[in-house]
Amino acid sequence: MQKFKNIQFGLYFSIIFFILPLIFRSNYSKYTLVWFCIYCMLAVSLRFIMLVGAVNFAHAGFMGIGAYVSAVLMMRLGLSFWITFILGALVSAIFAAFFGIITLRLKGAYFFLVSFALVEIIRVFFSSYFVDIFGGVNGLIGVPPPNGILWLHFDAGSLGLLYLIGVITVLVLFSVYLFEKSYWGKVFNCINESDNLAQSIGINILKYKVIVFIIGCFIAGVAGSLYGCTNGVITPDDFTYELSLFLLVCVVLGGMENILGTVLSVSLLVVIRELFRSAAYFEPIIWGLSLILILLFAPRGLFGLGTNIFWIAKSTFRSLRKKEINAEG
Amino acid sequence: MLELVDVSKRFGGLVAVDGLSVTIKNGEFLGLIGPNGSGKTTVLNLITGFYHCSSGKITLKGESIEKRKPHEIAKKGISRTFQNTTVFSEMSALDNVVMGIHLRSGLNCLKSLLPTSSIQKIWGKAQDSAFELLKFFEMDEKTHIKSADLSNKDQKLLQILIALASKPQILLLDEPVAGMNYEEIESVMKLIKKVNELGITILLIEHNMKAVMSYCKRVVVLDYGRKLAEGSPEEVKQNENVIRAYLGSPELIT
Amino acid sequence: MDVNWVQLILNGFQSGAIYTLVALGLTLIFSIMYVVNFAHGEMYMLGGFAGYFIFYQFFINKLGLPLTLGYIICFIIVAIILGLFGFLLEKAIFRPFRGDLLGGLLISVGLGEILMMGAALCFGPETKGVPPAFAGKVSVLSASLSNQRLAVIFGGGLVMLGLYLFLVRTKAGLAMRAIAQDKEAAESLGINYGFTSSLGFAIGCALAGVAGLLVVPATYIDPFVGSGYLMKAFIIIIIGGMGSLTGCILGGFMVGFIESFSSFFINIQTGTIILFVLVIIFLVLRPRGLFGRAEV
Repeated sequence: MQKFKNIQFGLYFSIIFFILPLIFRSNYSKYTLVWFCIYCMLAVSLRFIMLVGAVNFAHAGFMGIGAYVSAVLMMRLGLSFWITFILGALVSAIFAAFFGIITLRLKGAYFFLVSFALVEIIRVFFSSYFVDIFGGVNGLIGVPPPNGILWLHFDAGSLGLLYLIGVITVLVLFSVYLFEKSYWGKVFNCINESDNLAQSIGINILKYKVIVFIIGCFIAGVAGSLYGCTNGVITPDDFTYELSLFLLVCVVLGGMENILGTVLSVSLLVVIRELFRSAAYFEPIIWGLSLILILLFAPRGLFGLGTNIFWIAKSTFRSLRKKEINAEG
Repeated sequence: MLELVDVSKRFGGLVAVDGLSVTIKNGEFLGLIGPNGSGKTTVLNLITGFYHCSSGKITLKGESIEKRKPHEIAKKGISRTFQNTTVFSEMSALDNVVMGIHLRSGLNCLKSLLPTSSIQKIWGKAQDSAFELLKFFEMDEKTHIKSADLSNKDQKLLQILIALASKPQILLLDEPVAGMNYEEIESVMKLIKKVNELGITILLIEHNMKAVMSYCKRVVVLDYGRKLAEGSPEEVKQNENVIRAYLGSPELIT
Repeated sequence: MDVNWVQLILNGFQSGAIYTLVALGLTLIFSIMYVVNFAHGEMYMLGGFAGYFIFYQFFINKLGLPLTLGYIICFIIVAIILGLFGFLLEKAIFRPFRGDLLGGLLISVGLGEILMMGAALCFGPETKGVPPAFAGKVSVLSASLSNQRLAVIFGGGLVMLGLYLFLVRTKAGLAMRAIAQDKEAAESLGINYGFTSSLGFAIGCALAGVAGLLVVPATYIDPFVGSGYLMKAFIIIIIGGMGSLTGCILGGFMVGFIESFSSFFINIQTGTIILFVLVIIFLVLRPRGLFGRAEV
């Protein structure tokens, strides 16, 4: 039934994806597909976190942590990519655990604000502290690609690297999908709709929110390490709140209903981003404008079928206002 | 079984609950009434951990619970409903009740991530239990309706079922018949009585005097967060302080 | 190292005053509309640019008005322009999101981006400076403070006083406070929520814009300053308490002092991190801030 149809669709999509670079053999198409994958991972993990009602504006920051840790371990300690990208993601996840346990208790608006502060702090940290390790404002140049396994090469710009990233992306998306469709997904749904009701039936909402947050940031860390390898250069300005904003637009545009919506909107936005590559200041204007237009006229997202974006934090935000637990009766 | 000893709750300068001491006995059907603003819902929130007491103790079977979080209190066997009808509106009625079984279903674990056959079995069992509960409230025809589409009465019944699903010892109901007409009130109160007859202790907060007086064996009256009177419905009805507090309210003159 | 404490304190006062004004606008908007205006920093930036174009280019260069007079007139104009802008924005964009925190937040994020990049496109990304409206310096104890900076402190204080009087003495201000306390009750008393909302938003924007104008002759302006001030405003509001004006003022000056002292003794970045840590501490120990509402 529905589950299998979705998996089928995912399969077709992946097959198309893997065939594309064989048809369009240019470096440019490889480059675009790599970006598509990385953004997919980021947008889907952001949406995953938003499933429990937390709008994580620091998502780009956690990507940055993964990227920097992985790159530093490779470049300064000479460790292999296969170890460092897990370590990078782990550091990101551990940091997410600390941050999440403290801040996920807060109502949605406060969490959003604190995550905004966090992404700035992370950027400041990587540009001003430990400059000999992190490269300061100029960042790290010459991040090495993964070393090959057996006969496979993963050099920058190669087909091998593209397929590797593609496979990782598919694995990530599939895992998120499994999570969501399981009983845990229903629990997230409950937390999102009404955290009061969820608590009253025994759901420890902090525990679930933190777990989801850790997983989402772990994935962002993985995306970060992959980003480092493909780009070769990482700077603190790669991980600003503007990237978080772009990811947020992707999620909002795609609707919260399913992963497919997010993936479709990422494809659309990657195309648009490439078109506007040259107009440096125009780009964020487009994102800002699209966000406003979508929210005003299509709050369910262009591809979202039946889920209002405002549903995602109905209880955490409204209880600030509505005082569900009324000091009145 | 559930004891509140000298419980107070202050919000800044406002004293919502003032030195309240109440004992709820095992298996009883207790009513909590009082004018608007008398602190009834606050008491509920204090018991269930949504608010913390400014002072005083709350004990369940001797164990102190006033510092616990809401989900821990649910685990201890205290369930509640909410004043604003709160159900999981995007889910079907059946799924709502299944979620209510969360603590007892065995699904509350890591293994439930994978769609294995044992998880499927547990899920099936949970669905059966949920169905039985819906049948108990004569709602078995409505299991697959999205809960947002249910009538007010059905939503309130669903709320009670969600709270019942975790097999609580005590059920705290916050105005379960608000917004209903006479017939609806009658049928809902009869169902609540059925629940009490199963041995589940019930604390009923209500504005509807007739409902409280007809079904509750004992009544506690609050005013300005303080206990005004306590006793059988008859005793309370004749209490001078209570009459004064409700002065002008036609409900008490039945 | 010779520490000029008076200088540090005065600097703290000055930045504190500006931060407080910006934060006041944000918290006002929040109390009335329950929306966190992410574009608030851009209002500050627009006020600064208005200062550049109207005060500097137009009044001074073109009309040749005396500095101080031109500045004061500009002050009034900026307040009106930004107020109007805010009013229209609220009616056009924020209206469906009154009371909806997430939606309002997201849409204001979009708005902020548009304003910031739009300003970069229209005005150019370079920083611009404006000559001081109040020339000369003043000596306070062992420190010296340019008159312009002194004007910032006094101007800021005047604006805060004006806000206080407005909220306490005027009918519109009373309406706003009523809505901030209990929206439904206020409406049932006949207060027009829509209009008051828009007015509140307008005043909030005007506050930020005026802050920008106050500061631009003392420092500089570029299209990207908004987010820095926005973040400071958030910090202040979290520490002082969402929706509390007293908390805002206290928090604002506290932030100003922390920044002033830490940038002298350590560096600016560490100052920012200290503030961030402070925010986390507050969020953990006292989420409603110093004076925020009890149930948060």
